[in-house]
Amino acid sequence: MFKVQMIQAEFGDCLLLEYGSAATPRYTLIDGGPPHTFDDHLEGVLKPIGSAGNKLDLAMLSHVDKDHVVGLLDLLARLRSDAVTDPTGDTRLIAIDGLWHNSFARALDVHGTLAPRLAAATQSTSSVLAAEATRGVAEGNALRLAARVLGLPTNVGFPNDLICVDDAPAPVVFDNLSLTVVGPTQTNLDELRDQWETWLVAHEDAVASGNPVVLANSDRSIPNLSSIMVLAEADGKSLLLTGDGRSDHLLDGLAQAGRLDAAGRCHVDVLKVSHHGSDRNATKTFFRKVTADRYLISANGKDGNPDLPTLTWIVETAADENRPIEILLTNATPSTQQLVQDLDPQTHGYELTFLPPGESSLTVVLAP
Amino acid sequence: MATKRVIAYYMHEGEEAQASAALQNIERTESYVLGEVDDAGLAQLRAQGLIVQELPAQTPAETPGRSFDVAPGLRRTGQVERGAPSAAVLASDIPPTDRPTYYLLQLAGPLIESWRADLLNVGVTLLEHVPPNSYKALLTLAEASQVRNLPFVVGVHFYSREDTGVLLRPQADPVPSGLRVPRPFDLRLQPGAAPDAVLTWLADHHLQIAGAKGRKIRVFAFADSPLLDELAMLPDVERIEEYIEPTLHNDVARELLGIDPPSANGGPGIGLTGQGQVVGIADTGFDDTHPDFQGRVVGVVALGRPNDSSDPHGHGTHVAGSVLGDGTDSGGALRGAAPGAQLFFQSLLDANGGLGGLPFDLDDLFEEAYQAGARIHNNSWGAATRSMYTLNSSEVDEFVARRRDMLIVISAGNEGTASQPVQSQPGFVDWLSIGSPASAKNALVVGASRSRRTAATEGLAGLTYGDVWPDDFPAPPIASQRVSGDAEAMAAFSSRGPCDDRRIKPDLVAPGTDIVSTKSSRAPLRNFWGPLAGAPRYAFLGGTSMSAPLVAGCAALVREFYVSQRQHDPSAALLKATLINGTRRLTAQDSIADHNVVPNFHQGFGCIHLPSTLPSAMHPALRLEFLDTWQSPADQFQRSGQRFRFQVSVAGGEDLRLCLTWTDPPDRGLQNSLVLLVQSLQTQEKWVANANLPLAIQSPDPDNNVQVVHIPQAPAGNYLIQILARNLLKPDQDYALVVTGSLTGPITPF
Repeated sequence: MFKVQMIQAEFGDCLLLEYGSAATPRYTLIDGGPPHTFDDHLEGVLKPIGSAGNKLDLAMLSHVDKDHVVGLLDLLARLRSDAVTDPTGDTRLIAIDGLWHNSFARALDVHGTLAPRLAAATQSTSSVLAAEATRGVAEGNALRLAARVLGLPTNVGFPNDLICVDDAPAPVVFDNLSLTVVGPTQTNLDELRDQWETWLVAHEDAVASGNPVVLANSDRSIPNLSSIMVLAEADGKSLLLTGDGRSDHLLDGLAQAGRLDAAGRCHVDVLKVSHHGSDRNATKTFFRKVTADRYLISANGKDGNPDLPTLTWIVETAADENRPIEILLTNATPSTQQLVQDLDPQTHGYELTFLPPGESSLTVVLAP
Repeated sequence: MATKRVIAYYMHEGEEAQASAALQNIERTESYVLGEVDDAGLAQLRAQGLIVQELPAQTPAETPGRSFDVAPGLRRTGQVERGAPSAAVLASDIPPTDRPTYYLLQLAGPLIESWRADLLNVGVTLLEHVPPNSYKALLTLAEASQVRNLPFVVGVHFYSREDTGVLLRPQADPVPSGLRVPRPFDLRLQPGAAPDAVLTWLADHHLQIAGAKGRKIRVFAFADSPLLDELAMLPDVERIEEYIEPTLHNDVARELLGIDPPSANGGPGIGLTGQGQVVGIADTGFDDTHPDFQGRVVGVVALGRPNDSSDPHGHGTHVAGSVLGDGTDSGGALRGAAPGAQLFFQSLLDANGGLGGLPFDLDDLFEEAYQAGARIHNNSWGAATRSMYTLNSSEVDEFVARRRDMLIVISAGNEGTASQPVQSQPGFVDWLSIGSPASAKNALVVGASRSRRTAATEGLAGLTYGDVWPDDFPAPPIASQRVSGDAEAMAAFSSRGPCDDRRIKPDLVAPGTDIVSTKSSRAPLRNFWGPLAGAPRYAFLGGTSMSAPLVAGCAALVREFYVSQRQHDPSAALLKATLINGTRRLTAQDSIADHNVVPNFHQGFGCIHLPSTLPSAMHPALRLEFLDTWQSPADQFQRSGQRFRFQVSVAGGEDLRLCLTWTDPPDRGLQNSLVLLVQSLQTQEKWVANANLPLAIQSPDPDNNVQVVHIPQAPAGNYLIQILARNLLKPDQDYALVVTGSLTGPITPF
């Protein structure tokens, strides 16, 4: 069995992998979504699983950003509450065996030089956006602390407490599921560190010139790019989990992990489209190189996500090759409406599927 | 033989005669003699039992901010750092000839009355004290020349750009890439200066004005802008400082504390609940559906979000519970310090999660609560300004000076760190991290000690400081100590004193780790230090944010005591004196690091302790007597040197504690300085208040408006109490004195 549930996370990400067998299903949670995702949806999804005596093999945070981390913080806070109320654990929401998460310090700031500058930049009252971008750093620390309080093992098996392609041991296996880290690479991280430097300069110049547009673009993009990306495989099917990562980094990682063919391409059964379908994270070329039968997009229109160009690239690259595809989305947005108007689904060979309004999740079956 | 300039304090007429005989070139006051003496004469006077204070050797130029220098981490801009001075810069050091401008006059000692009269004779009124011995005055060039000729004036200098200064955070230093971010700066105008000229100048130079009220103007500028230095040269600008935005005082901790039920501070035996007292709280928001406050809320106002005073964060409701939650939802088990008190709540949380509800001038915040009946006001927030006395601090002092019966309680801040110790030993928490407005003189400022909790299920009690805040506490011993458990120890994150004008802060400490209090139903558990088993309407939190409301609640008990048991309407100074008077000294290694005395820079005057604060069934031998002169002008100080003498009779067997406080006029450093002296009339032994003050340059202490004498196991007998005005720039000055011990009667005139 291999399934993935897209949980309603509005402008964030929250995915639940289900594998094992129908008799003994097993689970991995990828990201927790923004505020309210846990209370409104995730808790309800996890409750029957825990009640049936099943657990999460792993909870993974792709990167420290509010729209991915808060639901995990809420989950761990809830588990702490369950633990102090009933030390036997019998009544807890669900058990978790481990956490994957890259801290800002481990991933990008090994020398500790960026944090002080970042702090200085974000102390400017005129850069609310910068404060927003870095708030994830504190929330990442909060996640580590919560895991520590719960005694939840973090990054087990990864040397240097860092999850990256270079340091990844052999694929991590849970029953029939195999997880291969395909991003970031150490080179990506080194490059990102340089870009942080550049970002700081750009930010400073943007503030100095009072250019809010530059600010907006430079502020929010960088922290997203340190996403952990994972190729999940079970029963001969594959699911590529990309967080908010950059497409070129994903290609680097796939190459380094030996997952690109001679033409530099990779096909998976399901691709979780990076960064809620933002067109800043991908190119049309990327969707030519990394193809899928089904594309998952978690977004609700905030910040324009999913961007129409992203949707168009996905549809056009598939249509060019006569590959019928399905795009599954958590919410209908102006861009999805526009897509249907621009490119007729019938003639372009694609299907749009939405998580039904009012429901908590949409299940995609890779292998029954 | 070299002579020294000294003040000889006398308590009896015989001593006055001795001092007058020994000193040369004397000036007499009602309580001390000012004059010169050589070393032999000085030793002889002291052998005769007089308290003699050596005045510091005269330094040519005292300037604001110089006495403790600028706090580490803050720096001034200035000509030196700018390279070659321009012509304009040089011009700033030349006073205008055509109109009066501001000068600093340095005197040869305290402002005694004959000197004040001489100054008045040449038409000079001193405006502000710049400790230790300088004063600001508005003078014409001609007056400046006249003043220079007065024998007791040892220095006169134009109030120049260097005095105004521009205080910046260290982050404003250029970083490798050249960080350039416009920052808000607050200008304070000289006393009596009209804002028009400065506002016009700002407009002419295209500086964006963010606000203006009274003596404060806020502008945006780049930290390296030459305009700041030009601004500092304007004669009407007294001071320029970067405005640093306040945050909640559990941010470092990012949450919670659990409240040991405040009964641990006094227990049911105190017999007070804060009945009849209204406590104002300015914080995130308030969950008015919580059962623990029902029927006791006199008002809730929304200052940060239109018509929305709810508490999606959880901080404000937790703070409110520590002050006055009555434990209804926990069967009475989890109560705040004053469960009978009433609440006036001001919601500050804005839509962006900041404290945007704070007004431009804090006077507006406090006055609103005052009008609602609050006489105690809790503020668990502040800016990380490294012990600097900021405009916000000055606004607190100004408000209390105007509303002398409103006690403002402020958390010290959570900026305590051992990461790069400058003054402290390795592994211990460094000094000079008090926030603002916590650096105010007239507030009661509260640091955090550890609670007693030890269970891993209780908040963060199972972890060490190194576990939770590895960056701030990287090394033992603090790194390996538990967050809670040792109630004799400080919470490592608690901000440390002193202030940048040498004053002791915090005033006292109270438990501030793993505190249980009321949880807003809208606040997610992730905002707290931990849940409480089986009690979803409560949670753990920590920070000096949690210590302050415990003290505010205790202040409500003390206020109820004065109103109901003594039929007295207490001043803020009296409440502050009473609480500080009853503190106990914390004894753990980190509480007494560097200076094994109280007051010190970690715990201030000690940890709040109600059994030794108020008379109660818990401590039947304790009797409390007090003087509180805010409503009796005849008992207030009118002139330098004036004294009041009293005596008390003691049965013996108890500690004798005395605490003098007064509400000082606003501005950095004490404007009026009072001294407390005590003498046993049996043994003639004398005690000088704050005698153990760390790094004291002078004794009696001229820097603190809290003066404490503690005589352990005081022998039976009569004790003379002398309170004197060492230096009184701005009469009239009221004061509050609290005396506790095995007193056999009231305080009587001597």
